[in-house]
Amino acid sequence: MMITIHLTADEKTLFEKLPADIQEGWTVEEEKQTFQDTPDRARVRLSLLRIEDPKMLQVIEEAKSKESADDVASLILDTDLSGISERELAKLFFAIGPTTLSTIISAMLVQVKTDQDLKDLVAVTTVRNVVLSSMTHSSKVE
Amino acid sequence: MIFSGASSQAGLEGGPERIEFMPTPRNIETAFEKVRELPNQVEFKERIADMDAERISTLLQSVEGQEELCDLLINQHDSFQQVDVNFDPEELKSHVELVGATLKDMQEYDELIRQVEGVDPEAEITVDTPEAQKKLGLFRRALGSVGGFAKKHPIVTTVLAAGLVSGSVAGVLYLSGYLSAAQAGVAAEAIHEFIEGTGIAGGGIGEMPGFNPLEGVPLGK
Repeated sequence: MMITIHLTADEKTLFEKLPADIQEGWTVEEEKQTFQDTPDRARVRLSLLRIEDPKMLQVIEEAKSKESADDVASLILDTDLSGISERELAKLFFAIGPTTLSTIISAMLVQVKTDQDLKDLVAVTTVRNVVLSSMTHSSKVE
Repeated sequence: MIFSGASSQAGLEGGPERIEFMPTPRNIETAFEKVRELPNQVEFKERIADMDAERISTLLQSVEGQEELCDLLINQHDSFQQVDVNFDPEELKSHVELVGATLKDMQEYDELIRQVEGVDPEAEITVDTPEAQKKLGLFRRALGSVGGFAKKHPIVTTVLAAGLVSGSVAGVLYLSGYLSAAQAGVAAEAIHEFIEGTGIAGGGIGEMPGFNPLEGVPLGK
């Protein structure tokens, strides 16, 4: 079965530059859902994020004890999210929002070299598609 | 606008960083708790006696509830400004509306996650699979994949970790009187840099030097 990949018009242009054999087997559907993120919208989502995973809670506790921006940056770069539950991942994706997911997608898209790379990319575009469709109420508030 | 007033550097060295009051259930609950500790205003304290985060969350999700909360907070704005210097009655109504709408989105999203958790990740998806079921199945697979390839794509891990730390730590620091202004400044800086560094559109963020969580992070393999 052909698998659908949801890409914006700009992303589709980049996709079409990939080698033909990589593109084979994928149907591109244009991602037409849009969401204009703003600092306030992002801040509210991040503030409402409630984490339950003990390992992630420990990271938050550690971050609270840091006294410099450099220390917080080091902590972020050293954080290992392997083993995190799908529920927590889903919540984090919602909190960071579709615009940030688009940034990730653009970064990944230009580096696709294998079928597996494309599968990884499709996973993120699928998440973005769901997150976009979940912003029905907040998208109406300025 | 997220941050206003002094730069983060000033926040680290001098007075507290100004971060506008965002009326999330926990922030309002904390503000109510602090107002309850103020002398007098017995009648008002009775009105907010049963206002915990859960009740506030419910109120925020309806137009009537939002009006009730705005009425409570704006009418007593002097008290709220006493317990939180960043409380701004002028911005309150629009922020209450935004928090309410986001809570509704989150509640529906949470329901979706519950449905996704009930989907067999190995279940075959064919052209005959109903559209709604297909969407749940693909989302389940996508989450499983991302969890597996996080190490291969550091940008994913870094952005998620920045979101985890920035959002939660800033949320906790904000309105936490016992935490130092320096720590609050760091959290503000972190969330600012995360938002700016990851390209979220929008202006109004003050000029604040700091780290970029994505600096030096390889974007792929």
